Amino acid sequence: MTVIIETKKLTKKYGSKAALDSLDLTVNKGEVLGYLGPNGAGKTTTIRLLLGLTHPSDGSATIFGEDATRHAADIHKRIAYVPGETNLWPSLSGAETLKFLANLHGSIDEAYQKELIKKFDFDPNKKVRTYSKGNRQKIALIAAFATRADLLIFDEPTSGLDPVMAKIFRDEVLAAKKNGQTVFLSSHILEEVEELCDRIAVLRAGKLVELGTLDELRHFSAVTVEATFTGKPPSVSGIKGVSNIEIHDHFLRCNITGSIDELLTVISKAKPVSFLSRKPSLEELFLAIYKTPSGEK
Amino acid sequence: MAKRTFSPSRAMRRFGFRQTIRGALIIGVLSGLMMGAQGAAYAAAYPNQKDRDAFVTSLSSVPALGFMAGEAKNALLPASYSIYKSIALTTLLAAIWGLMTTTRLLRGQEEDGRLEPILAGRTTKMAASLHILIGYGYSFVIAIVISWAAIAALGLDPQVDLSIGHAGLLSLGVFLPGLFFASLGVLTSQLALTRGRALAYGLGVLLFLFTLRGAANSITDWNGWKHFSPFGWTDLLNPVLDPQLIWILPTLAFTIIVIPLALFFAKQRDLGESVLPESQFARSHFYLLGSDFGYSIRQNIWPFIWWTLGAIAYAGLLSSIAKVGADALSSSPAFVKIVSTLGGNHDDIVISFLGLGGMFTALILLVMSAVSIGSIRRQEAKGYLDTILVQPIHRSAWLTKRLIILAVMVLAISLIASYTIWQIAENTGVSLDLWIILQNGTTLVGSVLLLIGAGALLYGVLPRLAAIVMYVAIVWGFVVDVLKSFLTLDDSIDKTSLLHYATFTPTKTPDWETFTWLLGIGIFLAALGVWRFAKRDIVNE
Repeated sequence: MTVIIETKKLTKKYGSKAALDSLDLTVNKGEVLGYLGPNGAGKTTTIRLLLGLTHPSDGSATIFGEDATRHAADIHKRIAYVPGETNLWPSLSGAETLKFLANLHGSIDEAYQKELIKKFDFDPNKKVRTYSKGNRQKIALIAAFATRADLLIFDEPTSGLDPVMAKIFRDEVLAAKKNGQTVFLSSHILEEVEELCDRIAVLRAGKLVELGTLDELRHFSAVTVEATFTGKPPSVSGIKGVSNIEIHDHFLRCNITGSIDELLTVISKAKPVSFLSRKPSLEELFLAIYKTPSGEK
Repeated sequence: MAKRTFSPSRAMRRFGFRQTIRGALIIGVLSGLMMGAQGAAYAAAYPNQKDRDAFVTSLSSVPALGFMAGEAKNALLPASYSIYKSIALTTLLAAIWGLMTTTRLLRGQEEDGRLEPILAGRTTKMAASLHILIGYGYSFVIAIVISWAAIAALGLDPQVDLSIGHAGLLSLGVFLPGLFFASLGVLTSQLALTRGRALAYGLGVLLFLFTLRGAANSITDWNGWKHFSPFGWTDLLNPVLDPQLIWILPTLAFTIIVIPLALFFAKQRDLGESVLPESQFARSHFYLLGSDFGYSIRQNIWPFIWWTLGAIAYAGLLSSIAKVGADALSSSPAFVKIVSTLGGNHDDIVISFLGLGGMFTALILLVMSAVSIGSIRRQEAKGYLDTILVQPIHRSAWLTKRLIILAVMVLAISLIASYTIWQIAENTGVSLDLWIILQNGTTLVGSVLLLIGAGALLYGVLPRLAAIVMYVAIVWGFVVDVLKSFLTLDDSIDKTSLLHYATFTPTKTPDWETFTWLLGIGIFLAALGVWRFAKRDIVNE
């Protein structure tokens, strides 16, 4: 499998504080990688390092096999990037900005750009300073997708977009993936990540704490079990791996990690009238990761 | 749980104060030194009243000198001499500071979206603007007090003999135009949609009123026009020789009328809108959008035009009065010394006057270089540079191209100003060799290129400080140059001034050797700066 992004012990320190600490990460060709973490976890720091805007304190990052800092300009021929807060020149019009960005990048699918302008319902005939945040974001997205770059890097790209436009964004990411493009997506919108991403990386305080497919992450996490009984629910507090027990009248809810056999035996003996077991959502996984003390899994 | 409450009004006043106090300290110290430091030097150069009277008579016979100076009568006494020498410049600086500060505080903050979180709190647009302005008012008063203290302290010299009260009035006179244009900035911030436009409206008025006052001072028949300019009101205040306090009133009246009007506009209009309607739609023009280099040129077209006009105006003004000024002032040895020293020629006073035009051109080009390096830093701070550098563009190439554009602009403006000097000299009967003048116009930019190189190095190492250090170097050079026209300065001090290397003598064989050295050092420093820039992090605001 072709590796598009590879970081080895990538570290960025500001003074004595590590904004990113020994990040080891690979992103493969055609993959959509979700990059999660709360504010200040080091997501944007990672992206700025990948783009060569900042220099690593230690370790390295390569994109397409080339050093991300030293060969930034060459790498950027095959990259398109959309930041969360797009800084565009206020005196230019939308059309001028799209033209300028296309010229700077050097390659553009003009027909696709026109199609994107329509899809995103964007009016390019206004000055950038008059656009709302969402519309400025649309310019950046249209410019990025229209390059059909091998690697798309998004840093919270849908902030400011309405749900309809966010859906169009997701469709375009899926189309890009189908087209063989690689996507690095940093986002706070977990549904978006859940829908789009093949693998998910979770950062906390500059460290990578989880990396894998959603199913792999779930494997290490608790399963939620809910059951209703005709009588009083059985006691499950002594069962290994059970946590977060909630009991209301005839209703029982708890989480379980590891083997579920003993819990099933106890519940079935108590004659349940309903039983539900479900995998945790990404949101539940994310919250669970952040509830555990630093460094623990 | 006990809930702590804060006063939003107090918070905004503190915000306004914190945003402006640094500028206030700088302008306070600068104006205080400029207005206070020259009395003693003047007393040393003109020790007796007879010489001073003769000097004033000479100055009065060339009213055109008053365009960039105060009224000639102020040169009668060391206590008031600085009014003649520097009032035009200091009031201009204070006015620009006032205008830039209020447009930044109000329209600038609004344009950057920083007013929204403030207005989401327990306040209104009108109250927020008012309290931010009050915070700025504190800084403004501090600037006046610092200036006053500096002028008063330097005026204690028995040879100068400036009373504390007169020093206070002098300081007030310096800052009255600042108050006028700060108030105007409050108004234009409501009228215009962007800070740039609010500033442009204000600068248009400022240039007109400054020129009006200059013309009123230079042309005897137009003397009454100074009654209609805030710069003229400072002249009429006459703070040292014969104070006329009534001339404080026009500025106060303007402020009292304009600020409530502007606050009313702030209340009436929507956030993000302006009183003057502006179309959201724009016809697209795609010229010079083919590359980052092209766009840099596009961005610099208007600044280039404005700086060129400024250089032509100054060079042209001094050239146009060269012959008549030289004839009138040649009987004053001290004045001849000043002009000869500043103009870089000790043989012919007319040529020295033309050299003065060259010195002002160099000064303008030095300031332009500092402004341009500041603008490069702003591109980075605002995040526009991120948008460029995530494209296939080499960092070092980007900065090199910007520096080349700046160097070409500097050279072009110098040559245009040199040609202007030659043309005006020809028209006034002073025959000069155009080829020699153009060569001198080229060598003149050596020190500017050196400053650009140093600025590039600073930008590569300490981006936030680059422009500030450049301004300090320029002011230092100007102060040394002015002082050396009065006093005998040690050669080693003189050599620390950038203007020492920027002499322009229209008849002298160009000093290509010094130019080559300055150019070489400038290029070396710039190359170091570009190299450092490529190695450092991009730092946003």
